[in-house]
Parts: sequence; structure tokens; C-alpha cells
Amino acid sequence: MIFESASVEQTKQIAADIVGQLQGGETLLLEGDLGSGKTTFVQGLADALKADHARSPTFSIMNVYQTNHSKIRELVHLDFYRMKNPRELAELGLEEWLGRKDAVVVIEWPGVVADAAFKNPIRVQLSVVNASERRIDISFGNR
Amino acid sequence: MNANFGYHADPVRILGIESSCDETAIAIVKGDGDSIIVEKNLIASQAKLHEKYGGVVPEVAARKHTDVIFPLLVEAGVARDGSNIDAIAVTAGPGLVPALRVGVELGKTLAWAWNKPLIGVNHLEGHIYSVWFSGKPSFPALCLLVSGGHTELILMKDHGVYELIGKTRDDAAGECFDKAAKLLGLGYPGGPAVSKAALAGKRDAIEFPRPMLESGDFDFSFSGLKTAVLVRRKEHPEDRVEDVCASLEEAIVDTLVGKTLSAVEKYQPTSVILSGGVSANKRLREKLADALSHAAAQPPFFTPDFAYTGDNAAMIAAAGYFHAKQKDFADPLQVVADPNMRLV
Repeated sequence: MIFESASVEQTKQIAADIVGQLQGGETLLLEGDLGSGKTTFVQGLADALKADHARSPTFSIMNVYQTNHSKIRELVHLDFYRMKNPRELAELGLEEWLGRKDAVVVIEWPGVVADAAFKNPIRVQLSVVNASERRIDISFGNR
Repeated sequence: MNANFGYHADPVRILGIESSCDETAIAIVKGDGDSIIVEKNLIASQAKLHEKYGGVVPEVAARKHTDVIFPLLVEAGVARDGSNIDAIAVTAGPGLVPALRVGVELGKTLAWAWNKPLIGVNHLEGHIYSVWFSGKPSFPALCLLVSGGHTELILMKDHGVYELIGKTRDDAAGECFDKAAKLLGLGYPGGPAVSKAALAGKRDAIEFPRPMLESGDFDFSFSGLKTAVLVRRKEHPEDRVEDVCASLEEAIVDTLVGKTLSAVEKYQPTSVILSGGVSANKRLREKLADALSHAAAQPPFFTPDFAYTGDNAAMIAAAGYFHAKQKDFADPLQVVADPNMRLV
């Protein structure tokens, strides 16, 4: 599915609409250049899940937000921007979260990790069209 | 527990432990009344441990913290039986759990084995106390805390009493520097690289936004500024990188200074503190100091020595000292690494 977003608000709304299709246990991989709206997209997910306001986890690597949703209890927000070595991942304790039925894991800059690490991830590709417009390509895994 | 925290003239020694993010650090400070003297301040990435224990680079990896934390303890001259230490202060959060845990478990173990009091310190509180090595801010103090992961305005009403009055809604100021540096093809860390290039640029060359300056609250937002740099590069590839850096630095500094001044007007603090990694930015120090000297109340301005701007354990020990004075201790069996630890 390809969406065109003309604003930060629309990007958040597109993310919020995706929440309606989530059951819990999903992993979302967010790809796109700096400034393409990845954190904005996660803010839309967090808002729709009635979680705390999401902030960039570039430095903290992992933020966990408690949600207020019937099936999804936690939104795990990761950012591998600063990671150079996939081995560093082993120490994050991600296995604690991946696939958990009451959590959704969303990862910015997942590139450092081999694709095989995630089962049927939902891929979200964001690209910059111009100052305000973004193209958002969302593909669901074969679930 | 022999030390009489706070009520006697006897100085006390606090062991500080920090491992919340990239840096592993150990420090010993001596507290006496309201004064704190740093006796040892070791940071793994800076310590000369290379020859002895192999290369050390900051890395988000619990294994790295584990590898260097005992060598640092030995290097700091901590007695095996803890006889030269009166209390242990450790960063309990916020941060990355696997990294935090290394320091927290060490602190708990030492406190339990030595039967010495333990203090769980909030990392942000540590940054605030980094100015106590060179000054004594009076309360209420307004603190602007800026780093790669944080941009917060905190009102400190007394030792250990805080009110969070504003924070970033997306990216921290330091992250904006780093990501803009990446967009401009400069090195890492981005803050110093942008500042260096900015010295040869014109600060009014490009009119970047001053985000949220008129928002009416004390929150920040730096994500849009990053995007503004991206868009500007696409539309004006002919810009001199120095001019982009100078204009960007000015936009970030103006935003931080503007919000801080608004908070000074509203909360009327009797001192202002600037701390965290980005407090090493000279332009920010100068412009905030200048703006405060022209403010109606002219609150005294405190900012740490450059050695204490980044993550370190001396600041954690300093915060621990003031908790110890109030006998605000934690049970070693109860302390856990808290990734979302709140200041208030």
C-alpha cells in the first residue's frame, strides 16, 4: 500500500490507521532517510495506542511506552542508527519483546540486522518528496 | 555505618558508578558540608587503560561495560574492603537496561558486601550536580539540561526536589547537531564538528526556524530543524557548509536560550544551570550567559567545567552525596535498573 502524506499530521494519521490492523506481536521495520518522518510515524502509532508521547530513541536505543489498548500493552520503540555491529543487538534482550502477543515492536534504521531476524515484519518505507510531502510504502508480511 | 552524613564536620567519600549509556565511569568524591571535591574521575573511553586492558571505545554494549568496570575500580584506588568509601552512588536510570544493569549490580554487590549505604541516582540529576564542583547555585535553580539524548528544563527547588517544566517532543538538541552533521558529511560527534565549521561561517546566512519559540510552553522540538537542513541542502546545494553550520548552530542556540529566558521570567529562579554534553558548546554558553546578564533579575549562571559536561561518575557521586546527607538511601536488595526512571 502506498500513501501520500502532505503533512506531519497526515503521517501520524496514516500510522494511526495501521494500528487498527495490528493484533499484537507484530514487528514493524521503518526505513527511510534522515528527516523522512520515521519518528513522526511512531508518534502516530503511540498516539493511537494511547501511549505516552514518543520521542526519538536515537541515543537511548530503546524506549518502551505503556499503552492503553485492548490487546497491545506495550509499544517498544527501537533505533539502530548508532549501532554498527549486529552482535550489539544480542545484548539488548530483544528476544524478551519480539513476538510477544501483547507488544508491538517498531524499529527505526533496522539495516544493521539481517532480515531473517524478524518473522514476517511489516515494512514501512518513507521517502521525502519535498519539504512537507512524504511517500509512505507499507507492505505486510505474508501472515 | 560509621560516617555521620551531613551532621558532623567529618568529610565523607562517595564512590560513583555510571553505565547508563555509552560510557562506563567510576569516580570518588569527597563531600564536606556543601563542598564537593573530585578525587578520582575515570571514564573508560578516556582513561589510559588501553595498554593494560586493551582498546576501549564507547559502545552501546553491556559486554563493554562489564569488561572495563572492574579495571576502572582498581585504577581509582578503591580499597578491596571498601574501607576508604562511606557510601556508593549508582545511576539507576534512565538509560538502556542491559547497560544500566552492569553498574547497578556492581553498586548493589559492593553495598551488600561492605555493608555501606547505597544511593540510586537519576542520571539527569547527576548532570545537574555537575556544576557543584565549581559553584553553589542557590534555590530555586532553573536547569537547562542538553545532551544527545536529552533536552529538558528542570526547576530545582532544593536538593532532591525537582519540577520538570519542559522537554523535547521529538529529538534532543544534541541529536539535531549529530544528524545535521551527518547530512552535511561532517564527522562524529556532530556537535563539535558543526561548531568548528560554524566558526568560519555566517550565522545569518540562512534563516532556519526557531522551533516552538512561540509555543507558549517550555517544550522543545528539534526534528523539524533537522528536516529544514535536509530540504535546504536539496534546494541550495551551493551553500557553503560553514554557513549552514553557523546558521544551524545559531538556530539551536537561540531556541535553547529563548526558552530558558521565558522560563526565567515565569519561575524567577535565583540561579540558572546549564549542563549536559551540549553545555560544552561555547556559543551556547556565551549567548546564555549574555542573555542572563541582561535579564531583569540577572540570576547567577552556572555551567560545568568541560571535563564534566559529558557522562561521568563524579556527577553521580555528587548527587549521591546530597542524598546521603539527607540519609536518603536505597535497599541494595530492592534497587533495579529503571529505563524510564523519572526525576519527579
